[in-house]
Amino acid sequence: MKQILLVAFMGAALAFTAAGRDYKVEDRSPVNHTFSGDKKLDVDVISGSVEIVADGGNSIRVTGERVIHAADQQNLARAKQDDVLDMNEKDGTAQIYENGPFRNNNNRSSDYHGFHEGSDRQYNVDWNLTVHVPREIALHLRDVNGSIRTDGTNGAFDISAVNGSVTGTNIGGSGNISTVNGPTVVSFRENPKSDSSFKSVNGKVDVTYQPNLAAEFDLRTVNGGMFTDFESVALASSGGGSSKDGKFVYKSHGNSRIRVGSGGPEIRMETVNGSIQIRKAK
Amino acid sequence: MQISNIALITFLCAAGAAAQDRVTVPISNPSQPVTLKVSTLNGSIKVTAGTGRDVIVSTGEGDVSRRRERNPRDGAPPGMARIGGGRFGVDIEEDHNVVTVNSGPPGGDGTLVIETPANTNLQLRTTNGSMIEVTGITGDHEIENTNGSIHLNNVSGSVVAHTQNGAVIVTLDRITGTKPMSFTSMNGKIDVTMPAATKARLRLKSDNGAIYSDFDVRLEADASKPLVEDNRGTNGKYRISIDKSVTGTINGGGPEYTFQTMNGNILIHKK
Repeated sequence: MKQILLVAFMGAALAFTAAGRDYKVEDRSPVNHTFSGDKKLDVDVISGSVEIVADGGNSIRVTGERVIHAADQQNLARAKQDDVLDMNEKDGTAQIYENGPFRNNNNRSSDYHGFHEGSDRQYNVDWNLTVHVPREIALHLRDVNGSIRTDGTNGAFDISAVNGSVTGTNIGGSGNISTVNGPTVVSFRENPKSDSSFKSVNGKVDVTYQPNLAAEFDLRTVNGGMFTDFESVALASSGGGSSKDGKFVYKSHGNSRIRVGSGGPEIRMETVNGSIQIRKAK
Repeated sequence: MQISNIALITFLCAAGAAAQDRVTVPISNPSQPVTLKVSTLNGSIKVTAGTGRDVIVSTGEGDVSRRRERNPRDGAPPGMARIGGGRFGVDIEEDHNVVTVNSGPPGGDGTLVIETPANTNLQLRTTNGSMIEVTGITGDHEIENTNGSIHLNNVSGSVVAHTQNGAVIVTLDRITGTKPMSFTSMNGKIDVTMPAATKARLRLKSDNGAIYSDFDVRLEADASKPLVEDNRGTNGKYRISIDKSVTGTINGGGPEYTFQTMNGNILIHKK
């Protein structure tokens, strides 16, 4: 949790820094790369939008562009040198990783981005990427300043953003989706078969499921309503009391639980400031 | 604390729109009185005397109507139904017969419904609860609401009840001990029923209301002296304040009971 909060804070700080600069130079350059034979896609960028589109192919095709805004030509050149997009394949995973002096760790599987850049940086780099993938590919997507979209995928997913929305359209599979500042909006072509979660902090969580949905939901919003057009049965909260230092202690966190259909995988939907909507696909 | 007691925690599952969490809190020493401390920010509190030896805390769904009042745009979208009303979280702890219940924020605008043994000292506090309601409990009771009323029905022992905005309505079956009592509001009536034999010295004050009683109240001569604050040596202010309270005794006098409101009548009934 500390890491998530740190990333959120640092991400917001970076966005503020970038927005506050008066950049006079812009450079756009295309991105093209193809992976083949990988079963998993791992994307980790700091700034820019990420769009995943499933198709009938067997390869992973990356297109897009790098957009640099800089104070002058010197900083533009520095940006090109500093901020690079590493593309690697390892153990069946295609990796797309925005690398630069703002990273201070070599553990790319970590969520810790480790900003440590100085205040003298006078450029901003966005990597706006569109990745065409096989439908069954597993997704591990990270973006700090930018939105994430997925369309038509059917594999497991683990997606998180910080400052931006996360949108899943016509997807299948199970997994976790979260953002901090933005909505989480997902529509399922095929309902999740395993436990899944959909979260935001400042934004709505809006998920559309197929009518044959059978699941148990654990729901929580602090400032917002929770709605569904499915027939549902309310359940008691999970949790329980315990003995601690000779005292009886019970804690309930105020979640609401409902069952849809005959029940099934547990689906957590959670936000702080926003509504939660469980929709039935028409 | 017996580990087996933990098994007493039960969660009752109700089909339908409103599920309710029901927690049974085992008491360390059931032969001794319980002290129940409840604090909530936006919820009402209802306490009744149970027949068992445990304290049972039920947390229902939130008060949907109040949420809608606060956020009228938060209505259900077309074709969709609201799920619950924003159930609130609650922390419960029992330590040597002292049961502490805290709820919200966040959330927390429902009603805490608590059953407790009849001999329980109550310390209940809410800020924006519509009501604190207690029925049939014997003990020393300290009840505080900020924006809502206080209803104590057929309680015994002693009472200190205060609200800023709401009525204070109390029916005392028995008064035990000689503790002073207080029934006060800022905006609301004070309506207290006491046993006919109650011996007390009453301090009564309503700034914008009348005072009524069927007790034979023997008013005392106004012996109060103006309170003088002489700060002319420091900030040049010289202030005189006069206490407008009326004092009197019933049944020969006894501990002091204060009845005070700014806007509302004071009614003291003989039971």
